[in-house]
Amino acid sequence: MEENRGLGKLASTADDAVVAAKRRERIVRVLLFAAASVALVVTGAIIWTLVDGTIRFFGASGTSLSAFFGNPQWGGIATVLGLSALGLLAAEAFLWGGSNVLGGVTRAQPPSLRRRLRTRLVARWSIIATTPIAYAINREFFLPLFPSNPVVAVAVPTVPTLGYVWLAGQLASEDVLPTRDLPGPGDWPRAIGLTAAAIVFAAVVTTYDLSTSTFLGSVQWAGVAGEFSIWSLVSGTVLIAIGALILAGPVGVGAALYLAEFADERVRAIGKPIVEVLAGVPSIVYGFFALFTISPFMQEHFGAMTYNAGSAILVVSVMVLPIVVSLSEDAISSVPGHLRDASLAMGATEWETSLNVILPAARSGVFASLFLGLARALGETMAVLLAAGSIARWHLDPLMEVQTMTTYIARVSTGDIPPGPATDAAFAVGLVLFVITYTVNLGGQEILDRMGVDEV
Amino acid sequence: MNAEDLGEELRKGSGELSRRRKTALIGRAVTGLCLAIAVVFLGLLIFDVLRRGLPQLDWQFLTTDVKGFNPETGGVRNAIVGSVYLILITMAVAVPLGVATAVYLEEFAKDNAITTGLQRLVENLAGVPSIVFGLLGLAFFARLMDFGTSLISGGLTLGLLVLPIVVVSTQEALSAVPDEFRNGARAMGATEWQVVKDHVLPAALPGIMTGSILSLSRAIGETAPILFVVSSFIRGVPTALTDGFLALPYQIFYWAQLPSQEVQQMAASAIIVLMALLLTMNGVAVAIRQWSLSRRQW
Amino acid sequence: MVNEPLSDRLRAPLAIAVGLLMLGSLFAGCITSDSGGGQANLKQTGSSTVHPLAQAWAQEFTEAEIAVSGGGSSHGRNAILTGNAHLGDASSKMGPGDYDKVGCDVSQDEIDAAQSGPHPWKYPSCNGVTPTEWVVAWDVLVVVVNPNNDWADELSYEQLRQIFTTENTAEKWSEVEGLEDAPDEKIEIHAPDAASGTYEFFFEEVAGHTDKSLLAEGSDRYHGSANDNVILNKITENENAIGYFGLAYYVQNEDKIDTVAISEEGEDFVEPSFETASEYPVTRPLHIYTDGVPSGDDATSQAVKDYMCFAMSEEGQSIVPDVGYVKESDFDPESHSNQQSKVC
Repeated sequence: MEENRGLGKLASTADDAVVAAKRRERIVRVLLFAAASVALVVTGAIIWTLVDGTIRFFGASGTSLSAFFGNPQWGGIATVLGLSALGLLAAEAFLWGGSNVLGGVTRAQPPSLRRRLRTRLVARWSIIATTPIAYAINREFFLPLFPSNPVVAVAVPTVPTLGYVWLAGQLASEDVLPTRDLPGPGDWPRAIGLTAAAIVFAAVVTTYDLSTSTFLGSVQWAGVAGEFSIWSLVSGTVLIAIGALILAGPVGVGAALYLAEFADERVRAIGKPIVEVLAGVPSIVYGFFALFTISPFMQEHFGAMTYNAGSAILVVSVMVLPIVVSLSEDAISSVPGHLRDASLAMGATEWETSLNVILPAARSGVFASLFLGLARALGETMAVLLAAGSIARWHLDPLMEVQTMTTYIARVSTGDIPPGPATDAAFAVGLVLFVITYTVNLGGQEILDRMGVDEV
Repeated sequence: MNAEDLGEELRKGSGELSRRRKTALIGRAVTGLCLAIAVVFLGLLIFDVLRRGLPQLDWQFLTTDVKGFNPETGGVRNAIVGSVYLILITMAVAVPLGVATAVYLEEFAKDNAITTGLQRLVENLAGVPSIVFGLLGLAFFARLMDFGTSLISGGLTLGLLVLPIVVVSTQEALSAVPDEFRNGARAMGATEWQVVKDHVLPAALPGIMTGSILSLSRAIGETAPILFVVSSFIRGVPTALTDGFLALPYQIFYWAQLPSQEVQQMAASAIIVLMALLLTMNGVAVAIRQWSLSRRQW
Repeated sequence: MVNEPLSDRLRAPLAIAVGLLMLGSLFAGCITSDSGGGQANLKQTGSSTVHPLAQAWAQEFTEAEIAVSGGGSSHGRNAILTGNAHLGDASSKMGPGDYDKVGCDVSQDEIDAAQSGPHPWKYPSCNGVTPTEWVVAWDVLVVVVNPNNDWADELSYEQLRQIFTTENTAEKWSEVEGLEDAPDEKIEIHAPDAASGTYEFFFEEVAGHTDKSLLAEGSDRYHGSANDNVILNKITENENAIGYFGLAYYVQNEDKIDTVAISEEGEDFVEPSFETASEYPVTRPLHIYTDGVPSGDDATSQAVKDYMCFAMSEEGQSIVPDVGYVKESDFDPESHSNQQSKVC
């Protein structure tokens, strides 16, 4: 009896303990959820801050959206740029045999990487390279011929432009022809797609160029004068980010390949941490190095300005390198061993295996690393601020000063501009930057997420 | 096929093979070169900074305050203190919040759209450019909450900046704890919170600490987020959260822009100090990782 | 099996955490022992032109702790009007726009009324703040050319407008009115970039501030830079270059570069120097703004008062030329003594 009562008491105490524990559990759960929601709050706060400042900017400065994103001519050119980007994507889709680049459907036997690279290179060349060539020829040879009659000046150069582009399209499509192992639509749509994109781009850019006496000259970002057209900042940002990616991409993927496939244990044990250390160096240190060591070198040997985009590109590429290397290396190492073994067993050399089997299989991860690297390069501030200077001007010359979106924001805070449209503009620029980097990041994350699905 | 043809064929084959072998060798060398570029660059960077910065780096440089006028006669003491203070606030903000978020996402959250969304938000927050965090700090902490150019504005801004990094590294540490720990505790009747509090968190603690210290070492080198709230001169050190503060990375930036070459060299010395701080923090993080790996029971 | 070693496993990380915390509090210890307790903390912010002077004074003034921050994002006048700073630095005058930004409606007439008589000038109150403007020093802007340039020793405002603005622009030196004998070479401008107050002031002064007559930074002729070093180097390299920067920077590099004597709308040509500053046209006052004339009623107000007294004192003013500006006590002794009498 005594015992039973004791037991009952014990049981009820235990019950109480369980109830208390459960209550605690509920409270903890709510608290933890609240903590986790901070991410949402922070994102919201960022967007609110930027949007609020942007509204203030547009309200106070009298700048219209269309002036911000381009003047009337610019609207046209932006459309053309957008269209040709679409064309490029379309061509890309064709070349990948109907599969989405981002999604990346991995085939059991991917075609030779070299062949595909060649194809893609020529295809891109046809679009990207012919345009400036056509533009230069038009400008140098045809415009001086017809200075007084704009209609003729526009019409006549368009014909040779079409000629160059047609030639390039032919080249591209011929190179596409032998790659019969690429599934997807026939070769004609590819050739047409490429050629059409190039034609539209070259012809319209040429037309706009000739119809406005100063090509892109009307693009002004001069805060004090109250002129806000973001394109001068975009050109600087693009120059630095893409430039850095062009340098860091091949080098990073190469280093990743070496680390994952060729290096022996000792080299790996040293090499990997060193690359990680590069990621840990503060950006201000890179900026210092760029300004005081790389820039004098560039001035002496290439005639660069004291502040120049080139030295910023160099250091930003080094900052991007660790992202590209580590993500690519992860992707390459996670390619299943049996693919490698099979290729080696067929008598392929290690190099051929890496190039034709491993890299194609790991390409989603490699793409993701490039995307995330790009986002990093777009958002870099201090190194660029110290090295690249502060002149917002539309050009893509790595030897000259540029201002990027990030450095405009920073310069406004360290300069002497009184509060007003020029400082509020920092928020508008920040919003554009935020949208761009967020999108690029989402793209990278998306690829990373899908990687698990289409892993061979 | 006669013997001659066969011989010819074989010769061709071996020629082809040796050509392919040569290509393989070159390819290997080229990729090796890519890695070498990174290593050489780091070496150059370190050499350059040491060459410029070491001559002025002495005890007096470390123990003298930043001078607003004739900076070459001063040092970096209060900038170091400012940076350390900033990091302590950052830690107080980011670590509890970050660990709580990670525990929720990893241990408590149901596998639904909200959780995926939160996870995504955290990951993407890590990719937001740091200068945008600077704008957030300016508009939110300095202006809206009226903290102005103060230690607390800077610390909160940096705290939010490293929050996602703390979350992700903590999640990794938590997911490295084997499920046996959880199941064992659950079998004994522990509630989910008890499981986490008494078993998962202690086991994951070294990993969490390593990750947190590494995130903080990122924060100490950041300049862009505090650009709007840092001071360029104070006498002495901040005594309250609402005081203005100096920070090492901003000091480097400020000095690097002054025309005097002597001051620019001081920026290099300050870089050495900053890198030494970073190395110490990373060293502690690595030591914890090594130590916990050697003691690991699973 | 798991439980016991766990606590063991925890010991070292905890020890490290505690160690770090102790290290932190050690710093905290340093900090508290270091500050001479009970001192007022002042915040000073604003124009990057006044910035070096503010830094120098903050260092020498020992009766309060002053945190100086630069940056346009909280420009001095704005910081005073919003109460974000005790001392606001600015190199230009208060205007209706400043009030507009903080939600007060003050007309140009009211402002004009305030801007008379000797400094300090008291502006209309807004949100309980009475911005009060002090002139602490003067900034002299010099127009500089290459030493080999022997054709442009003197330039009038009209000629400067032809060179620096879009009004009747001269592409070449020989196209500048009155310089017909100058070389037939393109003029190249190397000068501060648009984010600097110097740029804004120069155009405001020389061109009269209209958007149209601003020669855009980034145009083919105007090469802006944030760094005076760059401007100096470019001009010393190029015989046809012209630019401008502060007198202080010129004084440090007197042997490398030549200044131009300036005449404002028909007046005499004046060579820039510390001595001639009050006759030289391209000068601007450097302001510090406070909330009212500090009464000294409480510790903060007393600190502001002490600071302004220090700034106006002989000791404070003697620092001014070292930073590169002209003393208020030399430039306008009357205004100086009036200001000094208010705070000392």
